[in-house]
Amino acid sequence: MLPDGHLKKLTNPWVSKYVEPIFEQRWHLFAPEPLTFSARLVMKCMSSEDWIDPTQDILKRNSTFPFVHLQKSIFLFNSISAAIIKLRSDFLEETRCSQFGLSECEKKFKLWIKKEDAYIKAQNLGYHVCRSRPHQLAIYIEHAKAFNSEYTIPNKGVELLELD
Amino acid sequence: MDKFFKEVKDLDFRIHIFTSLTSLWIILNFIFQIPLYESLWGSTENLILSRQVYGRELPFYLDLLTLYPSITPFVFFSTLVLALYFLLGRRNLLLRFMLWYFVWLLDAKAWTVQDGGNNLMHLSLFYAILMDVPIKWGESTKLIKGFAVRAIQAQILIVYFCAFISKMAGSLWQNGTALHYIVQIDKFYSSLLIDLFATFPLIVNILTYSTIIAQLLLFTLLPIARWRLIPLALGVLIHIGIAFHIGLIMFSLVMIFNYSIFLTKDDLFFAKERLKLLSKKIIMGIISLIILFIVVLLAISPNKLRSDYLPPEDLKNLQSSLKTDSKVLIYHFAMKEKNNLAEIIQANKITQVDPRDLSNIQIEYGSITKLITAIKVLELEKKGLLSRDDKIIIKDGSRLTLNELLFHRSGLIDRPYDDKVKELKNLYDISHNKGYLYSNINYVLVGNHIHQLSKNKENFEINKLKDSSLIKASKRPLRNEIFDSAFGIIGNIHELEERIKKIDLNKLPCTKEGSCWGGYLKEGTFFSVGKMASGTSLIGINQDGTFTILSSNDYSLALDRIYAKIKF
Repeated sequence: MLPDGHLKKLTNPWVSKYVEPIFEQRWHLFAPEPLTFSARLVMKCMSSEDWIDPTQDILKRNSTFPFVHLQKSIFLFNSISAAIIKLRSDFLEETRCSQFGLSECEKKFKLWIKKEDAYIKAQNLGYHVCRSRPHQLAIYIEHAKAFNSEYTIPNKGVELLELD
Repeated sequence: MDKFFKEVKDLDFRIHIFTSLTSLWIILNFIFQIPLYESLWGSTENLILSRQVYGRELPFYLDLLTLYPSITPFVFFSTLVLALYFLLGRRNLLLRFMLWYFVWLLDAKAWTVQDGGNNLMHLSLFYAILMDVPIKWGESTKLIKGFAVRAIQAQILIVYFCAFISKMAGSLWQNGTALHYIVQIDKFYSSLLIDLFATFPLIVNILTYSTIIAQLLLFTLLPIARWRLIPLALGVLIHIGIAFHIGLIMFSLVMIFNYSIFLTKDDLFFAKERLKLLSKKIIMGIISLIILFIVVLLAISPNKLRSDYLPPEDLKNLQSSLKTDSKVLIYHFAMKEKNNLAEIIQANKITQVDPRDLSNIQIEYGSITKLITAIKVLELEKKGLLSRDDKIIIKDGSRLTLNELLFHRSGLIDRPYDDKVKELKNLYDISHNKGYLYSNINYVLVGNHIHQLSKNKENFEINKLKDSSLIKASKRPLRNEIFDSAFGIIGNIHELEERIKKIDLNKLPCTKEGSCWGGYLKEGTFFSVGKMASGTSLIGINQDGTFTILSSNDYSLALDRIYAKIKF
């Protein structure tokens, strides 16, 4: 809860270890900026070249009858893709590898992400969807439409981040 | 300070209401989680991967579920039983601790942090442990219980304070458009609000700023006993809105139930009295307003919903009602149904393709080519390189202005463009400049004129047309270069979409009925560009019996126009 200052640096290692699990406070509540895109985990199963989006069905059902468990399912699916996107932006920032070329950087990221929990979760989910190990995983990003041209959220449409 | 904790008004009443409501929440939450149990805490046996990934890493002394994963179902159902125990009014310090620990542990070890509501609930339940200290502790009992109540109250204020401060720093909150983006995201998707915001953009600003103001009022007015009921009522209203519109039902319930820690018996009495005082008329008025609001929302909704999704069945019907062997290419992103697939229909066979693959698909621009030609004319005119009053002399000696050709007012015959056209004796279907008659030849002549100009003048702007991707992308065997100016271009669909987006239909010479470059011909060929309030649609049906249906941003409009044309 402390601001990023010297006191936090001094106390953080041992305070956070004991305090954070119980007293974690993260009141972002759509702030400072709300999300402006939806990210969905999509996969190709062994026998097919088509991308499968397991959230489609849930999203459709949720839009008809928004039951709590459907909404929670969307959170569940989204948390994996959101975590991978966060890891990706952190990776690109920390390694600063983009200076060696973006494709090289992406290759490094694809290798690195495989050790991360979020990727293993994605694989687990892929396994459940495909009933076998998924052939390929990717994050499908759909950007929200801009309010109007005065407000500058670039309307990028859709993107695909391949993980394999 | 001592007094602040010891003399909490209606202490036991508050504790009772708070405990009952939070226990109810836990029961509801866990019931809703039953269908998700496997996904949240699923066992490793169901997964082929060697490593099961649980939620957060916890200090070992708290991490019961990692030590003994097999007891997860026991912990899950014990939580339900414990919550029921407290809901029935029973109290016990140890069980209260266990209730907090189980709720917290299950959430911490679940695959995902669910939402802010769960987070607040852990904290509230943790402070609430102190609510059940035994009476035999004497004087300090009241002090500790009072402390628990004050801590939960402070926690709620912290939530609103943090939310308010961080929102103030966000540019989308500052410009009042944040809600526009939130309702488009999968997790908080609200078709109703998207439609409402699209119809009345001002509502986005009003609701976004109201959210910020409400959060400010909540943390400033809640500590003041006199004003308390106002922010509480406001908070309840906002959270009901959040629950129903962006689907955060459990989060909203956490907030509303936690408000109970602020309530005294007097507050409840006061609220009751106030409600009685309100005359029946006012209540009826409010109910009527709510009904009216719902009716308005429903009235907006169906039309809008229709625009988002076209079931394949409709496409099939459309296909058969036109020509069985025609090719229809439809490109759309149906936002509502999240059906991000482009549908390509060829000879009654519907193929769904990934939108990314569309970039590899070449489509016939059809008569949309005419738009590009016309825009070129307008650009050249602006630069003073030609005038729309320039005259073109055709074979029989008639003089036609570019404007007449662009507006299809030349009266020239229309027929598939081929070499035979040159041999025709009578080029006119109707007299020159006597009325509107759609003809490809008009645009062929315009293109020819531009082409001649570009030959005559070096560095002429039109060279850009020639070397643009349009002509390069063309696969149609060109009889001559001017052919492209009427309907000959074949190109990438994204490229076309980009071009369409740049077109300002207001600047184009449209006919009164709003159909710019279109018409209806005997052979069943039409092309229409329409600009309507909800968007721009483009439909092209080519001379050779193939159809090109394109909609830049409003799919239903395109379809409506097709139906309109069929009726016509």
